[in-house]
Amino acid sequence: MNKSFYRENAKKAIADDKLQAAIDLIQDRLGKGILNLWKEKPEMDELRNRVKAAKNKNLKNLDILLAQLADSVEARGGHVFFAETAEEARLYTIELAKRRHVKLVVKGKSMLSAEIKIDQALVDAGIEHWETDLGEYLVQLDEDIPSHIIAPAVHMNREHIGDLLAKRIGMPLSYDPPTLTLAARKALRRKFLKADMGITGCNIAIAETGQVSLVSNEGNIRMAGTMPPIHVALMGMERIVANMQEHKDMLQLLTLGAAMQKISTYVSFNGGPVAEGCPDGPQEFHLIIIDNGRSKILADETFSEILNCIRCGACLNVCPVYGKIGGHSYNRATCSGPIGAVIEPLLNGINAQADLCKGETLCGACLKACPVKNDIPRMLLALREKLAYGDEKWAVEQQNPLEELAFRGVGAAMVSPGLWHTGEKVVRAIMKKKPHQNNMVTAMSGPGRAWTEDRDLPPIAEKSFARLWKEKLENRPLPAEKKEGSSAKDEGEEK
Amino acid sequence: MAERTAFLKKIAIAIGQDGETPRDPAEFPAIFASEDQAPLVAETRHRSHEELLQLASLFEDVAKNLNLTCHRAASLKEARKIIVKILEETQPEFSTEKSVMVHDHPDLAALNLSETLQKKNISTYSTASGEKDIRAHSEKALAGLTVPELAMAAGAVIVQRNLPGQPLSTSLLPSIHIALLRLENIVEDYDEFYARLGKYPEEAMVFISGPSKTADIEAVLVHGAHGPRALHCIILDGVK
Repeated sequence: MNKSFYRENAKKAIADDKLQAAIDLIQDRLGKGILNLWKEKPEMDELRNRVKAAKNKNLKNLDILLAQLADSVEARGGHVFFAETAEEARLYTIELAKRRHVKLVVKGKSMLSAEIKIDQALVDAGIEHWETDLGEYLVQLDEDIPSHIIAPAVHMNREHIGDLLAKRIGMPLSYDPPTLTLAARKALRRKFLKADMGITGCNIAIAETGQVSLVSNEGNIRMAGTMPPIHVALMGMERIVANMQEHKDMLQLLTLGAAMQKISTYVSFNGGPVAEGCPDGPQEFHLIIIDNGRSKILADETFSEILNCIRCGACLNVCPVYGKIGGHSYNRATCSGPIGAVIEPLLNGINAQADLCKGETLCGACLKACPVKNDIPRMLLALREKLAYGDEKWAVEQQNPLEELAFRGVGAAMVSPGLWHTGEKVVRAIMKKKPHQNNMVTAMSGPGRAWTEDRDLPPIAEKSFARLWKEKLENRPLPAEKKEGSSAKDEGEEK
Repeated sequence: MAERTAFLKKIAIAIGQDGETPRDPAEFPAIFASEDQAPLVAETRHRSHEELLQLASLFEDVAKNLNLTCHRAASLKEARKIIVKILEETQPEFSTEKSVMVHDHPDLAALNLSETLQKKNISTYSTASGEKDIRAHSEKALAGLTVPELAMAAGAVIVQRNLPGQPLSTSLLPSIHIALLRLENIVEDYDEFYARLGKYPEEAMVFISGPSKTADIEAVLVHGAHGPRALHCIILDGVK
């Protein structure tokens, strides 16, 4: 079997004790927390169903909602740009930055900004940019990428961070989280106050009021949307509710799912330039609504459910696979974990991201944890089916034609006893010759090798069940014939 | 406009519309319809003093877990004392001198803070429209004083709208944030909170439920990531 990035990195992650401890910590607290919450508060079910219903309604009317959102923002003097591709979104942002002579950009944490690769575009344009969420900032200084949706630096321990900050921002060496946080606070405050542009994402846009809303605990997103003279908000086209009542419901699920918080420290709403004479920014507000492959997902009934995702990261916190292999193993994609295993293949090619959807276990924990009850296991299976047979619409090449052939062979054998028993004899003979330990086969060759690389294989029994049946039980009396003998017991029970 | 039309057409086709004529939001009011909030709003406005005190207690209980410090004041004089005490006990972070940004609000004006604070060597700057250098003063300030017009007890949340003379940065840039909250402006839960918010015309608004915090380094909770490192909420009871 080919060595894949996914497999190689997963192996490294499993062997990394520090990473394992860090992920355990977050899964223990947040993952178990959210599962318990749904169990202990069944009344939350009503809220979850309400949000899901609203989301479904909104997806079916997405053209109307986005038109309303754009009208509302524009009525307040904001600018709206509809970008069909990542490239269009990048171009719009960079051109705007150049037009306004932007030299320094501060970013609020945004998954979408990573998806459209805005950072590289800023670098290419010679514009200094800083991530301002503490975790994202650390990851940027380390020239790495985030490994968790809400805890981007979960893979870094305090020693690593202390060394990093000492080297990169010249602070005295310390491994104390409050001291490290304070140093980052000081360094980034200077950037916030000097920045010419703030780039944020959008957690929930409200069509009726024409706003984007963003949650944060640090206050960095408030800074990015309040201090610089220009605010650019990047929004995935599905991140929208119709009105404030829907916002109220979804906000609760978002902060509970993300961090078990009743509400985040800050929920900020932005929807246009500030009034003249206000000492705060922004003087210009730009909303970029991005498709980048989402309309294709929307058009496919099998996968459109994934657009209900609120990117809270709860599925990562309960996933046994994420829990072992960590975020970076997911091909260093923007999204990791169960949500990444569905959305990344859909956005970036099912063949290219095949390992992501094949690596999950289908245990169903993500479905249980998901605040909006997205059936991720169902979609993982649907993706695997496309890989197994190929798919024209999604341009999927059949991943392993031999596999299909093999299963067709097994299928044919299963309806033909003669063929089946011959096959059984052949495989039994092969297995007998292979090395054994504790009654298990430890090393197969050929297609069986991949299995025994990581685990042993039980040998085929000397006599199959069918054979045993024939020899011993075929002529035994049927239960109906024994009825008289068992009547005594029945009577005993009646007494 | 062309890119908007093409974009929305693609979506319309994806959801099974013909995509030929753009669908006009005005023709689909049902999509935006929300329940009438008037009865709930009325309920929140007719609470007895007793009920309001219960909500204040709930607010304080929730606040404890969020590291939000609550105080109660039965008069403006008492509120002023509390503010002075907080300012005296807090060291400046962004300047060697102590200064306070004060929102343009009658409740804060009624405190007559500047005179008292002057005696303590603490400068007071108003954020009223027309004042100069608000941004520069805010960047150096020790504290920002605001008056939230609404609070939610169940989440210990206060709201700040971007209004003339009341910039959002007052609760963001200074080292600490002090909010003067009238008892009668506390409502119980999410439903009541949003009912009272209604549809607001301002372009910007923020919900605040505690001081800025992060747990990005080994999940250790640290207060004062980028925003204020402390939030004090003074609940004003019985002030006309």
